[in-house]
Amino acid sequence: MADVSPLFTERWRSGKHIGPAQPSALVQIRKGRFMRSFNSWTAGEVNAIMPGNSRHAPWQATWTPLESYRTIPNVEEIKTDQSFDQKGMTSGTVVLENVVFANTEGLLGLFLLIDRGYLSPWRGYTGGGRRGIVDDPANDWSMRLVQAAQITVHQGYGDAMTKTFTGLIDQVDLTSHPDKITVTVRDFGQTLTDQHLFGYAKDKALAHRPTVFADRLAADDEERKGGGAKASSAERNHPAGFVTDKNSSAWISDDASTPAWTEWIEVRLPAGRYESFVIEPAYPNMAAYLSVYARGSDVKVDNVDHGEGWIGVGNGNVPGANGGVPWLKHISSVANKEREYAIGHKLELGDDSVLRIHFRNLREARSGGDTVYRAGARTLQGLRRKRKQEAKDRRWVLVEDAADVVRVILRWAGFKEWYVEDTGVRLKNEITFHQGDFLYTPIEKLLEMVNFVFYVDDPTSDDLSIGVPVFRHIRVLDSPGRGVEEVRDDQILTGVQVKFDRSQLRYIIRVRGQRAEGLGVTRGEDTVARWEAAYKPKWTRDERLAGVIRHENHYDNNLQTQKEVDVQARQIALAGALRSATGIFECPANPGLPMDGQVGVRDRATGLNTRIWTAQRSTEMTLGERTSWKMTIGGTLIDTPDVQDAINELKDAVGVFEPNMAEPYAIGGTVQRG
Amino acid sequence: MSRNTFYNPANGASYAWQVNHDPEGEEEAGRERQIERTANTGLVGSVDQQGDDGPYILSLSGKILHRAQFVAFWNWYELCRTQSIWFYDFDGQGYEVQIIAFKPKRRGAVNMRTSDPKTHFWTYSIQMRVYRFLQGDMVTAGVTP
Repeated sequence: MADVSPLFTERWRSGKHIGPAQPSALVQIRKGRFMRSFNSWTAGEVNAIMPGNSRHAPWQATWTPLESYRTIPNVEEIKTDQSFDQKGMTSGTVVLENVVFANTEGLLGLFLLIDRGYLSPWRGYTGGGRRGIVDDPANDWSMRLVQAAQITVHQGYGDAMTKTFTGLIDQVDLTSHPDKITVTVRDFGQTLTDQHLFGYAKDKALAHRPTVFADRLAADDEERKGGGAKASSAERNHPAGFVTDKNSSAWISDDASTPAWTEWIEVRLPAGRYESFVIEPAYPNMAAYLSVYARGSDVKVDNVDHGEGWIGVGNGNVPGANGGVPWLKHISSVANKEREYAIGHKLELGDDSVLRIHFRNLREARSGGDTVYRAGARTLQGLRRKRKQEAKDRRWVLVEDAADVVRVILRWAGFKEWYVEDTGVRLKNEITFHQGDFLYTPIEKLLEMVNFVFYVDDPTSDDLSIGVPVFRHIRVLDSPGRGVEEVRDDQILTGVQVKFDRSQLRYIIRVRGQRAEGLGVTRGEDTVARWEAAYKPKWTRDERLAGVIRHENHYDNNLQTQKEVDVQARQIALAGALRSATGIFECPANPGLPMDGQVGVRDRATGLNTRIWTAQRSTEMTLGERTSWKMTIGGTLIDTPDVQDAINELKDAVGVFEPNMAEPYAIGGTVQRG
Repeated sequence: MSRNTFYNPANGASYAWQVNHDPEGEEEAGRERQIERTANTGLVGSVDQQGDDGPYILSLSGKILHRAQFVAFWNWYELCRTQSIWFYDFDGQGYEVQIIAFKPKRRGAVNMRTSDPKTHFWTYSIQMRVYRFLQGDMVTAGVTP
């Protein structure tokens, strides 16, 4: 949404846009172009790397103005339209009167020369051997409106103005009698929809290759490494070395008199990159602290140089007499089985570095009639990671979170500002895009899989801003905050048009996932036993559909657990509820009312008292004697029984979860191979 | 009494009217604020949005007794297709204008009091849109068209 000042909001709310609060607009044009190069990156963080490229100087496009702005005169009308049906992008038209009254110096003084066609882009051009029009020489508007120049619009109430649009000219239509020019514009989202994933529109190193996005960790080969085990203490028949053999024998510490005692076990690691380790404790529920002593001349922690020594990240030291060294990771209660744990940092270590686990909250044991406390472990290994050769050869773009795919695409398209939320999902498989795909195609792919929205928000006040792409969770699920702008019936100009459509509500939703032998169910003609959710939403259970059975059957082979199919079913129900109740209203324009935002609406005539989640905004401004500036907002009604029930049941199904590297978890399915 | 006069500021040419407009031949000339009022659904007041003030239009009418004046008015009307002109009235009020309407009507007549009896004359109305006040009361008042 545009950044509007308190004065703007005050004037908008007053409903009296007269005098100093009269609607106003400024439309400007300048030439420019995108320049592409490898360059230092100072904008938002992008957790993506491509083997062979510097992460500090990635390939990027940069919008470069070639001149200063000039003001376009004679603007009569400005219209814009933005909706999720248009991929969240804004298109618009600017209508100009193509007659200029130019101040001219005459014998007696200044007078106005009336020049028809003054702004015509081909004015003064002669080609094909034709003679020119004598009275219409070229001027400084010749060939200007016909180029893909940047158009920027500021609008407001009086001097309280804000930048509401920036984009490129798409099309110019000219008419005479009346002499008018209609300029059609689109925002810079066109760099995503019009450019293919080919050539220098993407990373130069990938110019003639398919574009492959893959999870950074999945692009590694892993090897268990660790030898030369030592321990703080060891029972005679349970030495430290048992943690590196391949059987179930265990190292066990000496007896301690209290559980609040520290014992440790360590292994030596060969040079390489480590981000996780494997441990199988001999006793459950001990607390564990991971420490690493780095050796070598080229040690890096999270890509930052680190000297030799214990690696500290500000967590403090391991407690206890056998502690006293910095720790990287704390596990409050280790599982009673072999399990991989993420270190939480990327460690590039030299030969003979040390991976040490300290245990506390030791387990109780009996020894000669006494109660004693011990630590123990059957396995301790570091997981050394090495990039797969295929990833290097094919120049995969390696990302952490799936949202990093979006960040990479936006950087290639030329955006320096964005609002992109992490999805919490890692790519399970690599996704491949080809030269026939557009830069928007990967974004579209992700939108199919996660419950996010994408749109290009209004530009910021920065002169070089070309809009702010937004990729984030859909806000219809957000709880009402104090910041929800209210539009009341003394501001709404046309009756709120509301539509309730029962046909969007499903009686029963079945989601079937992957084969699940022994745990799945068959259904109808599908004789494969799969994970299945058979969900009757609350409107069904409350008999609000008159018993008319509208089925929804959904198959997704990537859903691998009961929880995943349950969540997917409730997401489908929510989507239907959102489609079933929609509304549209008109009010004085306020670009501060956001897309994918919530606007409160109170209207006595229709009895509505609800938030609307904005899915569509359009504005229309006419200038001159009949000046007006209005906005139409359309979207989903949030505070209806069907939507609220669907939201609550989805939240119950999602519950609380923590993704970890061993078990990547995705809400709403996983990203599929393209 | 001074004559109404047209001036072409481009080349300095001028034309003093043979006959000024009729003393009763002036319509109201002024400005009007354009405010678009839209009712809201609450039926409490309205949302008001103000546009540019309406144009300042001089509307004069009178009689043309000389063919030269008839032809001259058409000449100045044509000139206004491509530029503005200056108009100074009998009272010394000066305007930069564009003639936007000139509507003469030929009327038959015999004037027995001269040796050159005319068989017809014209009544006319002329409208001029004002783009600038050059001299006079409106300049003193600080009004801009």
